[in-house]
Formats: sequence, C-alpha cells, structure tokens
Amino acid sequence: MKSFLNLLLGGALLTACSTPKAPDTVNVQTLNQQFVEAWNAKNTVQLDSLLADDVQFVQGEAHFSGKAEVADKWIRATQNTISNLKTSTVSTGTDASLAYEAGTFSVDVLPEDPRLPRGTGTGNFLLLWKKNAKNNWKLSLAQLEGLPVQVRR
Amino acid sequence: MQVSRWIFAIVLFFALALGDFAHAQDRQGWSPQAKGAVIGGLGGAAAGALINKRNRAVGGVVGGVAGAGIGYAIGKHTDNKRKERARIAAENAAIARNAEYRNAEYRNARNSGRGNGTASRAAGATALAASAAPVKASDAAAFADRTGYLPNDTNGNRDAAYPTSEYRRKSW
Repeated sequence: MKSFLNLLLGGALLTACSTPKAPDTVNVQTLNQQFVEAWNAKNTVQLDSLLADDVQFVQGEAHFSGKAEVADKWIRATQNTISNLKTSTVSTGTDASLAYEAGTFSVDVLPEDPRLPRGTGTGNFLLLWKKNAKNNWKLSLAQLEGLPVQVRR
Repeated sequence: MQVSRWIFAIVLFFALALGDFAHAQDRQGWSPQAKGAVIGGLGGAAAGALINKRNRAVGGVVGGVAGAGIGYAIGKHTDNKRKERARIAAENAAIARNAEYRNAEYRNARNSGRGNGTASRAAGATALAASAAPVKASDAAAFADRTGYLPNDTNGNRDAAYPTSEYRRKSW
C-alpha cells in the first residue's frame, strides 16, 4: 500500500514538473522557400494562395493593401520582368502565430526590348507571416527596398 | 617695304577673321571671337606703338597682330563654353520633354483602360509600348551603356515605387 502511494506521489510529481508542450511554431525558411520557388516558377496560383486577405505590400512610395491589389500590382505586374530570384537571410524569428524573415535578395531583370541589356537587381526584403483562424500560415507583410538595377555585363 | 608687309598681314588677318565672324554677327551682334580680336588688336597695336619708340608703325602692327590673336583665342574659349552650356541645356530640355511625353502616354493608356475594362487596358498598354518603344529603347540603351545602370522608366510617375530616381530601382 505504502509503495503504491509512493508510486502515485512520484507520478503526480513528475506530471506537475513536466514542462508544458512547446507552442506549434513554423519553419519560416520553408515558407519563404515555397514563396521564392513559386516566384521562379511564375506560379501565380500558388503565390495567391500564400497571401493573407489583408496582406500589405510596401516598396519605396508604393503601398498596396489587400490580396487583390497586391496580387495585381505586385505579383502580376512583376513576375514577367524578373527571373532567378534568390534570397539571403539576415534575421528570422518565429512564435506561435507570427514568423518573419529579413535579408537581401538578388534577381535577374529581363529586358522589355531586345535592344536593352539584362539587369541584376538587388535589395533588402522583409516577409512577415501570420497564422490565420484556420491555422494556415499566410504572408501578411512584404516590405522591399530595391537598389539601382545594374547592367549585367 | 617691311612695314607694308606687316600692314598687309594685319589687314589680311582682320579680313579673314571678321569675314568668318560675319555669320555669327548676323545672328546676334558681335561674336566673342570678333570682340576679343578687335579689342586685343587695338590694345596690342597701341601697346606695341608705345613700346617700340624707334619704329612706332612696326610696333603697332606687331602689337596689333599679337593682341588680336590673343583676343581671338580668349573669345573662342568663351564661345566654346557658351556653346557647351547651350548644348547641356538643350539635352536636359530634350530629356524633360521625353519624360513628359512618356508620362502623358502612360496616363492616357491608364485612363483609357479604366473606362473600358481589361481589354482596352491591354490595348492601351500595347499602344503605349509600341509608341514609346523606339524612343525609349534607344535612349535606355544609351543610358545603360553610359552609366552601367538601367534607367527608371517610371521616373515622374507618382504611382510608382521610385518616382524620383533616375536609375531603375524596382526589380522584385
């Protein structure tokens, strides 16, 4: 009886001392990798699916709000002008409902006219992801700063 | 005899110089070269006559020729600087006209697209590309070759991300 009580007490103690389960976080690199791969594949359907309904896009003096405007004025307006997008991470962070990655990017800029040279675009980026009510991670903010596009020699 | 040769030389010089200036003077009075040559010639002749006391005629002629030459060179330098300033101003004006033309075309294409839906917006954009392409492509290629950067097609367009940048910054 006594050993049974000790066993019970020990079990209760272990249960009380166990750490709570870690919150369900996300691997932000995986999210961004999906996003960049969709850009390089010019997969607008997938890109649209990754945007939150209230997504914000900020670049220089441009500010687009909402999925429809961002999809139209950023993604569709840009996707055929670039290729070979690459990102390099400087900082990341995640918690239960928020994840971000910031860093630098480089991309090939395609000429609009065959007489024009190709360019290499570089700049800084910040992509902020939020978990929505359905527990899906969606892009909530994209902030880009582009540097002058150099002629590709 | 020697004096007459000098006189002939200076008369010939002035005749050639002033003959060359005649066109410029027709346009806008005396050219800087003419002004410089005349002022230099007169000043040099006076100085030469004063300096060479033994033969004031020869002194005047030599001084006049030297002064006219120096005055012409100074006037030519002034004229070159003035022409360079005018060329830069004309180039800047052409660039501004070109940018305004592109912006007007862009606004027209956008406005026509707004009123008539997607099809006419696409048609407007195509028309814009076709009309602006010959000017834009050659200018842009020259700009890129000169600077090593792509030009900003949306320079002056307030809806763009970088409307005040001479270089294209929008890539991704």
